[in-house]
Amino acid sequence: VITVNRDELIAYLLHQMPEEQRVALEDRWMEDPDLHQQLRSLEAELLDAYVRGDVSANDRTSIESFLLTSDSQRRKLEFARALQIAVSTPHPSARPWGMLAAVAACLVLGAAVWWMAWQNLALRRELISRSVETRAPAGSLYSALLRPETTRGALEPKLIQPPHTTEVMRLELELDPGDENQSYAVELSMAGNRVWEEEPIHSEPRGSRFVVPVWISTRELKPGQYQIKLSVGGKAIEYYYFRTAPEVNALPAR
Amino acid sequence: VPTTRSKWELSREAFARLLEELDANPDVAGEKFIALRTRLTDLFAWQRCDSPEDLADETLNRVARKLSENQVIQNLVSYALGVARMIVHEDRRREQEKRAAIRELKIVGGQAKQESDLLEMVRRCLASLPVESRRLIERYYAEDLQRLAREEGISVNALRNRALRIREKLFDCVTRARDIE
Repeated sequence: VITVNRDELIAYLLHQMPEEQRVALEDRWMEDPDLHQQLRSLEAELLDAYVRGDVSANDRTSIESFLLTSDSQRRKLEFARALQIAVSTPHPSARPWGMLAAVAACLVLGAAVWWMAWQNLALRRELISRSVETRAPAGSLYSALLRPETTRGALEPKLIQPPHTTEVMRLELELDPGDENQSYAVELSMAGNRVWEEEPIHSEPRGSRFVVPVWISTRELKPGQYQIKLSVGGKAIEYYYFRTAPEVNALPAR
Repeated sequence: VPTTRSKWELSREAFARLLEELDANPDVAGEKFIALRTRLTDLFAWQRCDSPEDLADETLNRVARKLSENQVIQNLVSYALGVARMIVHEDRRREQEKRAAIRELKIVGGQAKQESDLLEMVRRCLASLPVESRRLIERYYAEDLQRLAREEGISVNALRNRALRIREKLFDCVTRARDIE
């Protein structure tokens, strides 16, 4: 029995082997369901690695040139991307959300004055529009604007990296024009597990647009990728994505 | 797929003849047909053809036609592979310009909703998995594979195979959900 190793199968998928060898391998896997299954699994692994950015520049080009040339293949990539978001991090442990929400609310009140002054900084809007969130001055409050457009770049959700002294984050969910003046429900989840929900919330004007403000204690945010579902009357109207870096969790426990 | 041969249309009788050739038991023949179509689709996809499913169907049509003309085929899979290779050449002749895949990958604005829908489908399909399967695939993507394999008491290869089988089920589930919607 001639065995085929993993590298050879990858070389087949990425057209990195001589044509005669390719034809010979093709003859084999068409008749061998196990070998065919191995190729399918490796293709899935390659697409997963591509989505994570875990492939070399050469392999990336090969994947784009040889594995993503048809709609059906691109659907596999879309699936890989969605799957990464859905299972990107392990289950967070259970937290006493009610009590922590109350703590967060107190911190919010204390930081409100500071917040109002900070909000008026002229350059703020430019700063928050950057893909990597600019660090706020050391303090207890941090704010970030999330745009619904973020969902389009699912490969790279916005990085939110507040200083370790931050205790409360205010996430502003930007609304599309026409979506304001409603009562919203917000659900924050990580790897499919709900970690925060709040309703009703009302929008606030923000320049020429409207945002839905969400206040969250940074103690509740593990490093990882999050999804925020914004709903009206039980129906999701928009999704927002962001990820947090390790610093967000560096605040010492009380 | 515009080919001269594709003017011949697959009849009920020709399809029945193809199934019969695959296996005398209709249920088994159905499974074999699906497996063969999957393999042909992958073959065309991995040959960079633009419409793998259509070309797989074209291949099966041509095989069915030969059978309906009473041609004796010793090894149906091998014969289908030969036909498929011919179709690859035909397809390449038609494709004068190489596609710039990265250009086609650009995500346009209108796809945001589709992506949200897809994510919801993936989540629904994940939720429909048995708890152990769901937990395994979540951990597979989030944790160190060596450690996870040790914890599960299996080799990394076995872990990978197990996780990728679950992944494939998820993909099938999402594909079915997409087809329905």
